[in-house]
Amino acid sequence: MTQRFFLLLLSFFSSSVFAQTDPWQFILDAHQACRNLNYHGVLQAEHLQEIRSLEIIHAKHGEQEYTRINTLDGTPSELLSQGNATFVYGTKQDNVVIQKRNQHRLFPAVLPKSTSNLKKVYQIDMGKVDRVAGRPANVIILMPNDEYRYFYHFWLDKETSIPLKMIVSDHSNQLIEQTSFTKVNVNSEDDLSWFKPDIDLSKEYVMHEEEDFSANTPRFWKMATIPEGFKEISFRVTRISGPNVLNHHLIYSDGLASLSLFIQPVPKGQKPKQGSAKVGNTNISAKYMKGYQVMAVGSVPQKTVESFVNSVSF
Amino acid sequence: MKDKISSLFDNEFSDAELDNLLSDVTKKKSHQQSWAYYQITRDVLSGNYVSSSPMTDKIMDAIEKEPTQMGGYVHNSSTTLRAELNYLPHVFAFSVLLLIAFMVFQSPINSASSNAVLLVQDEIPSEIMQAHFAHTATNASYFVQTGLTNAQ
Repeated sequence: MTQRFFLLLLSFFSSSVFAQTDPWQFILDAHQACRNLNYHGVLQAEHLQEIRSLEIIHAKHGEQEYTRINTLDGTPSELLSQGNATFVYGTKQDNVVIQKRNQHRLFPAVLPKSTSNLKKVYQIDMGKVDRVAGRPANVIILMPNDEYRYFYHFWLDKETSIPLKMIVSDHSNQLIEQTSFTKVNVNSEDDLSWFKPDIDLSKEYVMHEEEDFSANTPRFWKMATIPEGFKEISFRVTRISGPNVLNHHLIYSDGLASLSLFIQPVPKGQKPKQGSAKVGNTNISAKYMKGYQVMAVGSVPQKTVESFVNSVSF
Repeated sequence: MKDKISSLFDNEFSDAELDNLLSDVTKKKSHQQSWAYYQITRDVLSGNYVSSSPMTDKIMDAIEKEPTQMGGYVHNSSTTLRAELNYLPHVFAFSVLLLIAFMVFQSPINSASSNAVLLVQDEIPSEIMQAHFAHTATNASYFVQTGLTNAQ
């Protein structure tokens, strides 16, 4: 009896230790923490050589998630999200343009709810405990198995598992993207009075809605093999107002890296594009086939966008 | 008063209280502004917000902007199809004329394969970059500040 008790105790102890040291579990904990905890902080986001400060407030109220993000620098704009409904309020001249977005995956809530796909294409490792925004953090590094995606470094709050910092770097260890909290406060307040936009009644509020034609649009192209781990997560068909053509926008993701694939007819008088280019750290590849411009765009290596463009045929 | 208007939008008032509140709201300009504030907030979050442009302008605008699609945009109106069948001979004759006109004036879509130019950084369509960031960005700054290119 005593022997069985010790075996049971040893088994429980081993599984507890494993759960705490399995780095993939940190990813799952971080995903849950971002959804379930109430937090309020200021973060700095770097992208395309710009650094912007933003304020974020997140709360779980009942079964719903509420998020408000507002920019602290430059032109005022903000995001309000309740469950799956996300609205962006952007200032444009004397108007405030309101846009509905289908989904968002914004820092700190960038980690997926499942690690099964990530395990196929990334190796995981842990770094030394560090300190971010005055809080101790576990460092997790996701290293790609191939050259179709970048390295992801996360600083996860030791106490709550919320990502405090994220760095994306390429295979030459060059910085691609960086986002980090400068201040964060985790609380259990049951108050939603902050969940409202800053309405300026001197401006006109204009709802900008893009009609989605995807339900009535056949897929008239074929996709050959794409890099492992990438899956289509969204398909939208919208109208481009100038040339008045339909733009087919497919989004692919491996759980961390994501890219857009655009397929649209080239209007008469417009010269189609071919080749590759780079805007900041975003790679673009373009190909012209049978009257269509095919273009892939993403914060992924050049090889990845080229692979997606070359996989399309008509 | 602001609290009362807020409560109104949360359906926390009886009919009698509602009548009194609506009467008060119409009297003072600051109350009208609070009313507008909560109306915008509530309507946007419930997905019912409509901009103030006249509806007829929007309908005419939508008709004018019916998009061009080469790959086959599928219309699903069966009534339109039945009406067209009655006028089939006329439709056929008209189609032949259209085909001739099409051949004369050429397709509105650029289908020549030899005139593609090299992609350069400065000529990447802004709507492509905006659409990409508006749907994939993990950086909130880009997410909230993109997607306004095509906005009115």
